[in-house]
Amino acid sequence: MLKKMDYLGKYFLTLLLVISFCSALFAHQHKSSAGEVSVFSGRKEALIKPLLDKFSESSGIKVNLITAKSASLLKRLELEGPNTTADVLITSDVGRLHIGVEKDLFGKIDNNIVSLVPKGYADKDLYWVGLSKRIRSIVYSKEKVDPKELSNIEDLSSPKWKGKICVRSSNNIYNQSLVASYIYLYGEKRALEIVQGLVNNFAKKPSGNDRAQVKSIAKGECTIAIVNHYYYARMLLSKDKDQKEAAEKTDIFFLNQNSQGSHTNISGIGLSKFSKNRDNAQKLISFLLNNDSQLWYAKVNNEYPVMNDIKTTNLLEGWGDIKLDYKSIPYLGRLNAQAVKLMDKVGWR
Amino acid sequence: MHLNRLSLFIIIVFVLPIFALLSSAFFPYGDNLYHIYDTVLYDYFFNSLSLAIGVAFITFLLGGSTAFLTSMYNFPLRRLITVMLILPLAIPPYINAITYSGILENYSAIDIHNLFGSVLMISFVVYPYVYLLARGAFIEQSREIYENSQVLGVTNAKMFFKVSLPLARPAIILGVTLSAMEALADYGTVEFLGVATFTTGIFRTWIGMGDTISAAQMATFFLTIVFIFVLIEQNTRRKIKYAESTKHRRKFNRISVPKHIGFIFLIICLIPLLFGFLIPFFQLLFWAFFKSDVFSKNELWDITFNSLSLATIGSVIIVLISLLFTYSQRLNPTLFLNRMLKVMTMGYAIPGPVIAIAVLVPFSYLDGFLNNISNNYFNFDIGLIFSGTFFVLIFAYCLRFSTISIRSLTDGFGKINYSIDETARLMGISERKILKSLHIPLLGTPLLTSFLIVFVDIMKELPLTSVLRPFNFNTLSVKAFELASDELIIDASGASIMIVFAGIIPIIFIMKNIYGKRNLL
Repeated sequence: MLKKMDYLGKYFLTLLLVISFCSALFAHQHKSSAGEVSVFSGRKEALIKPLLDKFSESSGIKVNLITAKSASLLKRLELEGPNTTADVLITSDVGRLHIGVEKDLFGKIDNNIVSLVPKGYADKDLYWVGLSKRIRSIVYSKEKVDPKELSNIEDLSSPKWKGKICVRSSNNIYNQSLVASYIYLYGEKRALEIVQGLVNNFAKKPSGNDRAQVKSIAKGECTIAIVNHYYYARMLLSKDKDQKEAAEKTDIFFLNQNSQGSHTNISGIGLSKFSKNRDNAQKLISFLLNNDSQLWYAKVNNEYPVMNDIKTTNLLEGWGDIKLDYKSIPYLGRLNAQAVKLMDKVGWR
Repeated sequence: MHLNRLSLFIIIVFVLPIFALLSSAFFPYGDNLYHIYDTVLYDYFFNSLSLAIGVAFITFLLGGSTAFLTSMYNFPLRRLITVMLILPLAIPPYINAITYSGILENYSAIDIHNLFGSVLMISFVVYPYVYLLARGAFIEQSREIYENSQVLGVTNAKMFFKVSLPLARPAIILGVTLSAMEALADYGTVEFLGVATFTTGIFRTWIGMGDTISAAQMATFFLTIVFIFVLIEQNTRRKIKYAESTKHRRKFNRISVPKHIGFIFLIICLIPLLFGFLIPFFQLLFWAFFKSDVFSKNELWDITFNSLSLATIGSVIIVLISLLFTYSQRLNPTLFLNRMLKVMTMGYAIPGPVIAIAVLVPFSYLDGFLNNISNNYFNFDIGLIFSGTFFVLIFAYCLRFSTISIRSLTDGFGKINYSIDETARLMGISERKILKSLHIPLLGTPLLTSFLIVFVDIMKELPLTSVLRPFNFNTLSVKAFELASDELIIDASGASIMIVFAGIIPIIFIMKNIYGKRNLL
């Protein structure tokens, strides 16, 4: 082909080749080697890298990292198949871990590690373990709401809260998981009624993120918001005056304390089925479950550790012992699609 | 013609992932798709259409008016404003929306969390597409037309509507189309502002329902609609013949206007600059310097270097490939290449993560294939050659961003009279030399413009970069978006500001080259 090509064609081809070559030099093609472990992380860099650095320091094992949306990384892991260079996948919700198991992307983690994790927060088939807990909580206006009025999720769908509730869009995975848990707990029909009632009580069209909902309370647009607990905690501890002031006008409430417990999601980790550094990967998993690392989630991101008996921060301890709905956790992933459809039906956009 | 063969080969490789995506239309339609059709499809359709039309209209107003005023009239601060009007391009729409949301949160009277807010947030930072392209067109309109119009007693307003606007139409429409496509492919802004569009719907189906096929089918449906609009636009254009005179380019004398009118012009040009750049920029700067300690970290400089290298290499390759395609099309126009180019220019309307997967599918298959061969015959593991390397990342950029350069170079070539080529060839000058010494200099403006836009777009790009990048390679956009999406806009301000700074450098450099050398600034 090269012989036949005219001068200009060659000129272009050479130019392109030279540039591709330069970019290849600039590239550092990754090959896994013995003293390494490679991480795909759906947890953002700021919320995982410091911990991975500590791991490298203590073990001498180099950690390679890519952070992106869990769903995209899961797809990349699936497509790369047996050739993948990723050893573990960290996600910020249990649903993705479940999809990973369904697509047969994970290998079994050593039972000695998995058995350390309290019941309900690790996969019974050893494919993943939880790392931290994230509670979907209620934040309410101190001025306008008496916490005695709050009890469980069903109550939030009663007409007395009409025009009072703020929550972000249903594209958000934490809302999808929340609804999935109600499908698991109450069955689809009852869950639809509850969520319909909830949607009828929305103060405004869902938008913004969790912090924005708390700010909406401070602005007087609503009196109750559905918020992940660590966002609220970070607002309380924020150096930003506006955020702190907004949060201080409100307080936190954990639903369903007299029934199944508050809805909880977890961030977790799965071991790649085709990991080439299985030992290092398991060392990393153990490390992420040790006391120091577990405490780190609490200190840096105000998440609750999955491991028991870890004294966290004053703020988290101050909220007391919270009853959590851990029984729904294994079902959140498989009910997610149903939850999304349910939210479409009731008009939660 | 062998150049054509090379182009055809390369372009087919590029459009394969798009066809793979489109082939999803032939899969059976699942329950999820019927569910979407029954419940939310109308909303998606209505919102996406309104968003596209709204952004098209506002970018036309902002970009068109400022381009016309800065190229035709003399008014105070005009030179400075001319360069600065491009700067909003350096601010990612998503960051813009979050910044405004932060600024406005204490004023409940102004609510941007709706469709109209999304239109504004996107328009204010993408109107420079229209501005840049329209300005190029206004400047290249020959002076004679205006002089003749004035001799014939045509008023300024009439001249604008009857003469300038129709002549600049192709460029303006290209700019408006690019803006609308960018709005359609946007995920972050509309999700944050609570507007459900086709793009958010595609992700909801893919991630929320775990249904890749239905998501691909939605993307196909959506692209078909976009494609029809693009075809309509190009067909209506074909009826009008443009006879561009390239002979009489003289020094441009701008029309002088009375002081008070000049002042009004200045105000008109300041509006987009103020909302699209000055307000968000200084707010981010304020956050970065006074509320966070991001600049003290060394890491930020490394990341900036990564982003700059990636954007430079990516945009050079994209512009070169576009030049190859458009030049072969000029030397030897074929219907097939033309069609393929049209398919390839759909890339700009495809949401980033969809492109990421569309690109990963064939390349990881190829990786698997190569590894099978090497394992079976040579007992040797070659690992991933494509997936997770810069090759795939830049390939994906080409698919996403070459729209801009292909279309502006096609327009650019269209303005070069064929007689120039013929004369040169009669004189025995080789094709390479014709390209090098005739076409490339004549294509100066579209080449530099596309380089600039692609460069800035790569700097701002997130979804492709984050998932396709190699290990341990961080960029400014990944950094900024991660922090911003975790509701930490103040911590994200440092990286966001660096994106803007890194964008400003080539903008100023290239503006000087486009306009400065020819004394057109």
